[in-house]
Amino acid sequence: MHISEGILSVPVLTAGALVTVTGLAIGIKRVKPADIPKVALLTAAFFVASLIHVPIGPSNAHLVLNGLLGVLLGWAAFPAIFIGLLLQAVLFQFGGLTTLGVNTANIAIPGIFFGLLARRFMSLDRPVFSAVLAGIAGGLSILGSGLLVAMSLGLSGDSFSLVSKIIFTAHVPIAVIEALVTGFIIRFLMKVKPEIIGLTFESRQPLARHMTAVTTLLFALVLVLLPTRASCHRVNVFAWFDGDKVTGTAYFSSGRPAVASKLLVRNLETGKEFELTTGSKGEFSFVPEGPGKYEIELYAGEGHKATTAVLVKPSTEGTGALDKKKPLFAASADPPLSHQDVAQGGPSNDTGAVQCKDIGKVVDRILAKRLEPIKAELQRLAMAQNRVTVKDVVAGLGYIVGIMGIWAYISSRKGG
Amino acid sequence: MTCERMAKGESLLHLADPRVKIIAALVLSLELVFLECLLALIIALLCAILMLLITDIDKRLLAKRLAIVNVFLVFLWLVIPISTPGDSIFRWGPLNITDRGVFLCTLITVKCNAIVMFNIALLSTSSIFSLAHALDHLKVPPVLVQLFFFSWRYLHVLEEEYARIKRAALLRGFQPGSNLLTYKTYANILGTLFVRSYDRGQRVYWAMVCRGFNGTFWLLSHFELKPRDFFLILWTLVLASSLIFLQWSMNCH
Repeated sequence: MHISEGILSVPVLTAGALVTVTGLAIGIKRVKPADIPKVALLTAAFFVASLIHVPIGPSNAHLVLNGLLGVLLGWAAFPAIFIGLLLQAVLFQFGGLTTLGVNTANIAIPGIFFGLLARRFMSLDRPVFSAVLAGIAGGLSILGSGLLVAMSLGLSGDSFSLVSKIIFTAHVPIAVIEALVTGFIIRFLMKVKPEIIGLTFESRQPLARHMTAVTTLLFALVLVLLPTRASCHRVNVFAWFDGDKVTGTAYFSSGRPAVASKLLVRNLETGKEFELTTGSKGEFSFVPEGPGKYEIELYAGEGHKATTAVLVKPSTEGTGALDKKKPLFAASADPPLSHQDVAQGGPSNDTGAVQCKDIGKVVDRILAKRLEPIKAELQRLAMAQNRVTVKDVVAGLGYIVGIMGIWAYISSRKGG
Repeated sequence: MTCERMAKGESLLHLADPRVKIIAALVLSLELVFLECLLALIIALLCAILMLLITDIDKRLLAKRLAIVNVFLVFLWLVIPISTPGDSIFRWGPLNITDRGVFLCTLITVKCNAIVMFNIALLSTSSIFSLAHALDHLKVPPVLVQLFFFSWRYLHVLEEEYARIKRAALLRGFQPGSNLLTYKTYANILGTLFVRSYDRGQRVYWAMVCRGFNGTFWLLSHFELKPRDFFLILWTLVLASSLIFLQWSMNCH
């Protein structure tokens, strides 16, 4: 259920912490001094419930009861779950300090959302129906938490994709048990002490205004989590062919070079593969074994991956068959592809093949030297284009605010 | 419960100011999350072990706690080496263990254990009461501090209550199994627990109101920074900055 320290990536941890701070701010406002002992005792009960291992088939699982807390406490479940997890982290080292934000958000948000939703249709004159509804909310809360846990892992790196699938699957049987136990607890409380739930005999409970806020928070969480990998985890690789060897660089979206990273080069025609390692500035080069298209895959650790393709045109050296009609700058205009033709803007082929080869070599060397700054400039431009700028971040925030605004507008219209 | 057993002791870390310990734990945990250099992480792990040795916590208890933490890591070790792309180290049928996967697992294991050990050395060596007190001094919202303190205060009461109800159920022939009756029984046990804790919470609140509680917790004692606290601050700063320097100078990620 809760993720240990040192596994999730920094953007995911930050997103979780931000959402939890928001949730806590809302939750704390709803806890009046008179509620503190009640919320604290239910927090303690939540903690004790998480120590209870219930048998499922050959194995067992501990209860979470986030749906039940959502039904009983509403928004106050946020601080309750936070404190419960903090105690577990300090006392038993379950979870941890850095993952407290993500874990609280993952458990509390689905619980509060489904809990408040179920509460709206529960009433004292329909105890069985209400208990079933609460049970469904309890099950869905666990599934929601499982999904969020899987997402947090999956977004932390490609390596976690299988782990996150397994974890989500493991939540399905727990959700069934959790639904049954939550339903039975609500049934029990309705018989024994209905004032804990605080329901009335109305067939429709007034929809809590903060329902809107929960939904917005949920959306915000997803919106914050989803782009984290796309923007912050990006690595880029660029390569070009300059006549006799393929050169390129690998760097992160921040502009930091990907040092000592593995590259897998594949000749798409022959299917041959070989490996390279980037140097101290993220640079690499290799001599292609022959013409054709090469695919370069970069692995920059922790599941960061990028690919590019280079077209190696048939080399003219040795064959003497020069193509003199190649325009000089056409090739350098599209850097990821080939540059080799620049080298062949030599004179005519009146002279013998040997002489031509020599001249070609000289021209090649001079041109390579002259074109070096242009190449570097092009590469800088391409890097600047791919980097996540402040503008993008502001645009992303604006996007979130905009969606929240639309949502607030719709809900205010509904409220009349 | 054996919750606070690590908090008993006379070592340097046990006696240090909880405020300093909380901040040091936060700084070190957050920094380790950012570190991606295996060498720096291994050095951090060694420093964490050194700090644990200073605390002189019962080794068997420590081993038990760390074993629980590593259960999830074992699960990662079973999956990630297979699911990560990279060079094959070992191939057996469809299973392909890659160097990158093994490296990633090693990184995570070292990182996780280092953070947990720092937290045991710094946080578990304080009683929850003094931690709550320190949180209050560190300007954490009072509602949160009070919830933290009360939850802790009643945890044991509820634990005992639960054990009593469970014993009563077992005496009446309750046998846990994968059936509806078991789940219903557990639900009723928990329901009873909730009802009793609700009633107790109400009584506690009334008792507090009778004694003039108005939502404020007054602090009667205040912490005082001693030379050993400055030593801990210095140690944390040196460790944190040298780890950053190591990662930066090695230029690895």
